[in-house]
Amino acid sequence: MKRALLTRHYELAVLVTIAILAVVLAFLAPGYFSLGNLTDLFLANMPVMLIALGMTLIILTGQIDISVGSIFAICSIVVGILARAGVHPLVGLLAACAAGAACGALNGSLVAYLRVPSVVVTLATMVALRDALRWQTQGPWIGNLPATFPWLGLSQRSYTATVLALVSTLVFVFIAGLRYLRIGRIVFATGSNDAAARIIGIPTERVVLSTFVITGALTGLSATLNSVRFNQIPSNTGLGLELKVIAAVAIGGTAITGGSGTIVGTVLGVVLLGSIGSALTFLNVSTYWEKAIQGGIILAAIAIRMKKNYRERDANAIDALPG
Amino acid sequence: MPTLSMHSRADSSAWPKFRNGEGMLLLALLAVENKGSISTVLRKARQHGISVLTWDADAEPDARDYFLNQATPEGIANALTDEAARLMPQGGQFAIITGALSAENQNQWIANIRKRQAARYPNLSVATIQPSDDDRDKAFSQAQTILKVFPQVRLIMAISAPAVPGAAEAVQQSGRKGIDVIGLSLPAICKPYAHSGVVQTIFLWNTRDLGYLTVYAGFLQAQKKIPTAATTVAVGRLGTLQMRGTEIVLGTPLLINQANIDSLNF
Amino acid sequence: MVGRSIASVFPKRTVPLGNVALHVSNLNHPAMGLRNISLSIRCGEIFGLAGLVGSGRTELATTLFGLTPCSSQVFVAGVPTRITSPADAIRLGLAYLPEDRRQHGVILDMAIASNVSMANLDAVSRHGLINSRAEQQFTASYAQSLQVKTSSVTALAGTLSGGNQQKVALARWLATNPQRMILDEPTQGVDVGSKSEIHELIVQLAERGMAILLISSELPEILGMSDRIGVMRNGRIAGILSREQATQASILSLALGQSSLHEANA
Repeated sequence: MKRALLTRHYELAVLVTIAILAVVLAFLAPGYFSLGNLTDLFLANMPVMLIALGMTLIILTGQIDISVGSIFAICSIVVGILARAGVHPLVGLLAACAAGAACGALNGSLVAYLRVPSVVVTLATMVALRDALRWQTQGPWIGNLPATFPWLGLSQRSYTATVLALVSTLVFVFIAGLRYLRIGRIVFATGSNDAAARIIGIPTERVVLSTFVITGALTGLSATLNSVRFNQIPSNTGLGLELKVIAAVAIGGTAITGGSGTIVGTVLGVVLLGSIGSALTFLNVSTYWEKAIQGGIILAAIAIRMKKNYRERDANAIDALPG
Repeated sequence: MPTLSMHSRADSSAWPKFRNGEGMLLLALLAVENKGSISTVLRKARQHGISVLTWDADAEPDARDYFLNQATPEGIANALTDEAARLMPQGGQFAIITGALSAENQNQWIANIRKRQAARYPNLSVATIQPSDDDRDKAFSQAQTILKVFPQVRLIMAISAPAVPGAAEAVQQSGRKGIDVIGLSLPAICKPYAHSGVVQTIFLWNTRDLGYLTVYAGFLQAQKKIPTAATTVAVGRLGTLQMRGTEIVLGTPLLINQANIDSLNF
Repeated sequence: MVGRSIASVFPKRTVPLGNVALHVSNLNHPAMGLRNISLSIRCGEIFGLAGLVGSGRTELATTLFGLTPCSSQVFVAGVPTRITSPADAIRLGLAYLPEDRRQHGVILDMAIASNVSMANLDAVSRHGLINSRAEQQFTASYAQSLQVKTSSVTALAGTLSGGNQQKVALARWLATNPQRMILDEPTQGVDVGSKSEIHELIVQLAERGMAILLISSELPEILGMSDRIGVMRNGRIAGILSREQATQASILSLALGQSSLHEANA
């Protein structure tokens, strides 16, 4: 019981931090809350949000994926090439999701079945996938995209509303799914105690593979949704994306070692990390502080998390003594 | 005939063993990223009698024979500042979007921009400097924020290649008129914005000329035809180029605008 | 103490034995060091498995349960089959309470209720969605019958004492309605009070017709609880003793290899 409260306290801490920031902004720079600005921030952080949903699952199972930036690049380029060939961006979206899922399957199989540590696998694929693009990215950005490309062929307003609905739905599905679907329990069990999960009959390899595939598909989805906001696809797109995603998940309270965490926490982590940059500009704080503040928040989050881990471990050790 | 070998990253582990046998080996390095480590290797190369040239970004001066500089930091900064002043004759504020706050060359440009602005255009001022991490999407986002937080800004100067189209897209999507975007970028990615009038001018060094210079200078150097204390050097079709110590400067930055952007293929 | 019957301390009651629930004949698993294993367990029977550490008891358990599958066949209720995974085993009505309960048994970061329902989520789900209230009621009934001491079934399993964690693990298996249970050191590291409760539970399970393979290193426990005792040595069954024949001395001599008595009571 005590532990459950602490967990809830953790996400509350992130929520409180966001609230404090909001209050400061409300007083000093109320322009931050204009509909235009909030929409812009939402769209700018949409890729991180979507990918973080999948990354939460991966980290919950005790793994990690640092190749999502490269997968993002591959999927963006797939969309661009198909669009230039006359394919409607919605079909391109499916293709991108498939491409992303395939990359995820590559990662997942190596981790789950060959038992190579995920940090090693995804480091290799991060480099290999991005280098695999060189035949395409040697050249300039992908431009000359057809008129159906921008905003998926919708108006900017409709597109924004659609993406908002889509992201909200996915967030809700993930929150509910993790709590109420069998797959949620299985993910937690696999991450918390892989050996126990296997004894209970859980196919832990398939679980791990699925988390990577899901994340890959989400990456493809976000790559498409992001690409259509512009009229060109840069060759260096997605660089550094994995760091933002993982930082958000870590701040949201998901233990890097796996087994505990929430989607709600991840969402809060994305919101906090995503709003700091522009908040600083609105508050006229020197931008040199942005990276330092982000780093500080990440450190604080992990420190609180580790303290909780140690307290839990001590409590378990005491409780597990015969008595 | 000397052989030219080019590597695009400072990856000293990929270097072949130096051979100092029948022919001389000449090395020309582009975009030196990690100055310290590559300089050690280059010094060793020079000890073996191999001529070393660097271009685009320099290694440590004693590690190479010559640095082929596409433009001086002052040249770049002055070109940008003068253009900003030309587009804002009534004065006012402009914003700078840079690549990374820690990038040495970009910080050099910013310092020189401020110097030029202070010296010649007191009616101009820098409203803010925001980083884009050389990412188009982040530059887009930063420009959106700048337009909201500093509504008085009439011009965005983006000194990182992906940042120019990023900022231009933000200006375009904002629907606000009268805001110009200039910067350092590749014509290929700025074309649509130049045509729509958002991007007025971009500067770059003529990459074709720089390549020509590298090969020609390499040829000259391999034949030991560059005198030690030279202040100028004749480089084929480029004419006579200035030298600053062991730097050969290509010249002033190339101005690219609506008039010539379509004819450039890079 | 050696040689005196201590069977009266344990709650063992005579149970009518049914058909053979599980048997293996010449099971070989070279990778796990198991050779020529033959044993059978009937419904309601508690078959004790004794032997020194390293004699292969846990290896036999994991093999029977499909964690370390082998090519030999296992006869479940007389039907030959191959158990290649825990999921297979569970489907065939087997359950396995592993030796290292902290590592393999209960998932400490999850609630007690979640642990108990884990192997049989269908029982608490409706239309594929887990019903928390049903889950809590489900768990509460097991917690009560097994006398798990906790303030609430939503507490995390890690907050329980060792003995109570063991009961949660047992409950989790009972929730799958098995007919054959493999218990590997079920009372190791458990306090005296919980120990006797667990013994009583095991006997009750036998009375309900469960076939039980009880692995234990505590001679009093295995002597007091078992109908028959198989003694392993070096990956083989050194001998099978009936309840009457079994003494600490006879078990030890088989375990250490001082006797070649083979009394197969198949």
